Amino acid sequence: MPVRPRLSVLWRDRAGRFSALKAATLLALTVPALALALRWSLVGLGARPLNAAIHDLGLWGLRLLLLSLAISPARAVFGWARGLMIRRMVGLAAASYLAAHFTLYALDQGFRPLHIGHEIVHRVYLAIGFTALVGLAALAATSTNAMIRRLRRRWKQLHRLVYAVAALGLLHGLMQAKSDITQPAILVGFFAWEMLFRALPARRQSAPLVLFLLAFVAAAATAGLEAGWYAAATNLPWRRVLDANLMPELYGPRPSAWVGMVALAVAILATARSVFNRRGRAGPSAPEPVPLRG
Amino acid sequence: MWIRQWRNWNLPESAVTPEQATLGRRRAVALAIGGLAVGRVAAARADTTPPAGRYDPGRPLTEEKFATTYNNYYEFSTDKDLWRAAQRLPQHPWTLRIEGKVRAPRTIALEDLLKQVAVEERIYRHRCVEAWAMTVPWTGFPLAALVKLADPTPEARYVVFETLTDAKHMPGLAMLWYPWPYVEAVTIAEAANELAFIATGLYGKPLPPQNGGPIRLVLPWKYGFKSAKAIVKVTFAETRPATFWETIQPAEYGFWANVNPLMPHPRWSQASERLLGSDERVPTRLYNGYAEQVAGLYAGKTAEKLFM
Ligand code: HEM
Repeated sequence: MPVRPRLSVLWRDRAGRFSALKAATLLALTVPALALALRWSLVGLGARPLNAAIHDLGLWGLRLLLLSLAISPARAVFGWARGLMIRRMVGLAAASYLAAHFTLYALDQGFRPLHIGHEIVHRVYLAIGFTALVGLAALAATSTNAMIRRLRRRWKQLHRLVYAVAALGLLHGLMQAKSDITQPAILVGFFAWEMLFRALPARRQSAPLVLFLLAFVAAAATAGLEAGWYAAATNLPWRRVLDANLMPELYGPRPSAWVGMVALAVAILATARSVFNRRGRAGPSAPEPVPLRG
Repeated sequence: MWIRQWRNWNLPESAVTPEQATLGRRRAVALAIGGLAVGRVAAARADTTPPAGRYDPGRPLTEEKFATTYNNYYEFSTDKDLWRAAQRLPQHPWTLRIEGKVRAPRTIALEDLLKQVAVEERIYRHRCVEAWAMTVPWTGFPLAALVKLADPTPEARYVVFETLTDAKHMPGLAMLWYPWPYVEAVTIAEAANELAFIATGLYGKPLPPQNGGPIRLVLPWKYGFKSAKAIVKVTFAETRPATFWETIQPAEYGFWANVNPLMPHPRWSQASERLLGSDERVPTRLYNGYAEQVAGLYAGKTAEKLFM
């Protein structure tokens, strides 16, 4: 007999028990949308409210997408197996924010389908965003338990698309910026960190030394990608942008610093954890095998 | 005439005073139609006497709070809500340096300059390259008056405007990779055009710092970035200077930057514009609707990228 989906899957685990983790995640994921709606209705979003909302939703969608990609690394580093229970929820939240992002764009363009189609085809950054959104829709549509069972091995292959979707989303975010790419550059840096992590051999992924090295490499990659973008897309002196990374007293933290600091924090926590574990406290350092997807 | 009143439901520019500027458009219509504005029109004519209806914007005025809180001004920040940060910029004393191909280079205090020109109010449509627009009442004087005062020599072919660089009050200047100072320029012929304006006031008040106070350029037929803010230097030059945005991205922002709905920016359409503070998107017009006054400037300039 087909199981009818119930809303309560959002806060119950597979065994049907209440899951505080899932419930808390669900709440947290609605915070950016609620905050936006509250600001919009109470104080307004300024002179171009729709555009401000489009930007906010695009940024949050991309942030959540990158967060969903950080969950399996978190399992590898911290043995946080339960994280997988919420991965699908985070991914679907990202898809929802980006669907809203597109809907507001359509609204801003007066819901004229032909005109919107014309714009998407003619503006490269919109064509890229659209491609990403189509990919995301395919991922969301195949995220039901039934689809996962039906597709089996092919499901895993299909859902590797998420990396391409994220990369396209980042490119779209970079291209829409007028000349200041600070926000998208930070996200590009986190993506680079996640991709570098994935490239590591599985048994090295939780080694503190490797993680420290990775933090350094990810920060350098962020700086390189940022300066590279300025070199490729603008006439600005990319050397100066690169040099700014080394002069925080003048420029404040650049994107490389944000990425480096978060990556460093992960490395430090991983070190603490491995020291803690070695002191004889219980707990395997390698992740236990867990059932995928809550 | 009453038909015109219906079509352009805003008041004729001669009737605009700061209070009316912030009235909703319905009330403005009601005022105009009810004849209640008559007294005001007469009063306004008496003291500022702008040529009635000459540059009728044909659109309701933008609410002042939107025009003064949504600004592009990279010297402060790349975010739009820089108006708070801009309040710290000292507006007095202010001097203007006039140099280059002029008979007598000099430095002139803003208050002395204002004594030598006839100040008037003009309502212009303002079109940003980012596809948003506003309609605001500037006070100031024609750029032509400044040119006359500067007394350029015949070699002068361009008028070059330079924005203040005050690192203490302008945190954005710390982004050292931008080609500071902000420089913009027009040809001598463009500077002589009747529309080219130097503003020192907005909505009947001193020009707020975030809008370019205390003194800025206003070129309503060009994208907003051409209209330099917080001007400290005006140079008359023989050759075309490297301007700020053209230096950064020559493929996207050109020297001429005349508004044209048919020439999309490489990354977005310029066919329509969103009016600040409203849900309205309106079609963009060639030269921002000022073709009648400026199209002649560009006759025969077929080799130039006039609209970028
Ligand atoms: C058909 C699909 C899409 C359309 C039409 C669209 C449209 C837009 C528009 C109009 C902007 C603002 C540009 C401006 O103000 O000049 C924007 C910004 C942005 N979009 Fe999209 N987008 C789409 C899909 C996506 C997707 C799939 C993602 C992420 C995966 C995304 C992420 C972003 C981001 C991060 C920004 C920049 C926000 C900021 O830095 O403030 N968009 N998009």
